[in-house]
Amino acid sequence: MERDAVRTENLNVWIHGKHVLKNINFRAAVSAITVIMGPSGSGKSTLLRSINRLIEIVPGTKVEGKVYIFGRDIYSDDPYRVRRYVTMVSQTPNPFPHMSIYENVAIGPKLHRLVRSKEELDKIVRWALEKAMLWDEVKDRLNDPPTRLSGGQQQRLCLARALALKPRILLLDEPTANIDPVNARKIEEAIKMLVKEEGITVIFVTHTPAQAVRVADFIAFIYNGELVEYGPAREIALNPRHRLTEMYLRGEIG
Amino acid sequence: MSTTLSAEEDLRHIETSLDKLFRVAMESLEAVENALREAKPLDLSANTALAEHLKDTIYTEALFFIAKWQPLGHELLYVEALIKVSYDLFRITRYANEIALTISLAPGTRIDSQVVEVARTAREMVERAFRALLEKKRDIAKNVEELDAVIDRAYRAALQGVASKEQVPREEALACIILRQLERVADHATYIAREVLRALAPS
Ligand SMILES: Nc1ncnc2c1ncn2[C@@H]1O[C@H](COP(=O)(O)OP(=O)(O)OP(=O)(O)O)[C@@H](O)[C@H]1O
Ligand SMILES: [Mg+2]
Repeated sequence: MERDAVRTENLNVWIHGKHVLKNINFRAAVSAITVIMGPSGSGKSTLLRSINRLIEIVPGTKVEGKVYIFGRDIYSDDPYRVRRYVTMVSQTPNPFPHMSIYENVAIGPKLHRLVRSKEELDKIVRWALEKAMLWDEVKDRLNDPPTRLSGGQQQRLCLARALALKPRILLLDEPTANIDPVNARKIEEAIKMLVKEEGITVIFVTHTPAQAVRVADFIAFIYNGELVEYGPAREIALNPRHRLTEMYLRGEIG
Repeated sequence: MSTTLSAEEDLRHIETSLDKLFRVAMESLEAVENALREAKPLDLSANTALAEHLKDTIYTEALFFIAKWQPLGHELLYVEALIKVSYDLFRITRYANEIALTISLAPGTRIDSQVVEVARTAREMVERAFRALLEKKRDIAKNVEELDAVIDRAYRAALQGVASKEQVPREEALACIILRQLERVADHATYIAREVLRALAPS
């Protein structure tokens, strides 16, 4: 069996002629949290979007190289199929404002026909909200619009929405960047639980070294479109091999 | 995979390594007691190597814990205590090894039974000090500090005996050297106890 859930091979991305990702050989181990850490503009989001092929939606992009998911080359696969088992939560909470809390979570399984009855759908919605650590806070107002939730709750709703498709890989693009520390810790905890209990593979983008070290099993440091260093979190935190990594951890660049 | 959920879980992990190190130290001290009682040679070099390895592992784990969770207040002091205690337990194992070497240099030499008593007291001090740490009990730690004085007296008396004689019998000289090493073991037990008193949050 493949030890890596995701592996890229000489991945290059250009956006409007700008070389944004340069020969990236990245990997993410199965059932672990791999953090992509790096300063603003280094290419973290671009790398994440290459993994679920969302990058193709960005106009003016050119992609070269390979992306393998569980050993399978995704660029010769159907992008919609890929996005069914590789789901994503983005930086700013973006629930669908005109749907209820319940509908926000239910929409994915419904569209992908993952369920056959209302009972099954209820079960998935509850499961996803529980895993996102939001159930207790919303169980009595599932028909409210998400706009009545706090920012941190909205972000956990987006996490539940991403989970409702029962993905094997979860991509998180700075999921706690715009929320308070208590909600941020809740999301970190929820994600670790998912890895532990459901065996999900998580790729987590952050630009904060402290958060990277706190949540990661493995850390990939990217700088200026290049993968500078990759290794177990402990190694990167205590014994980084590259001077740039060291400087970044100390808050001297970025 | 090694994903841990919380700081508590990571801390339990370090404590488990420390507990292993404690067992190595205790096993070494028990072996020393038996060797003294039976005047038999003893080799503890494998235990010493294992203790050193465990100590190094704990250092790394504790440093990573600090980097990862950025503890403050008594939690930070406690992690520091775990680092210091791992060093004490390693040194204790190494002193046990030195006693083993001393015994093995003169196999068959009968060592005074009082020395065996001191060895037992030193081992009990280590055991109590470590229990005080894990159970977070101040009174046990205080008790260890008191026992230290007893061992100091035994060593001073032996030293006095050796210093006052023109010619010292071999048994007496060896006993004095071993008491000195046991006195060091007791000192490290006392350091552990002091660490407990320093690092524990006031309840
Ligand atoms: N749609 C786009 N059009 C033009 N340039 C883009 C576009 N998207 C990204 N880029 C460029 O690609 C580079 C990498 O961007 P990316 O969003 O991947 O960085 P990032 O590491 O996620 O940064 P941040 O931490 O600020 O989110 C940047 O130089 C950015 O300007
Ligand atoms: Mg980004």
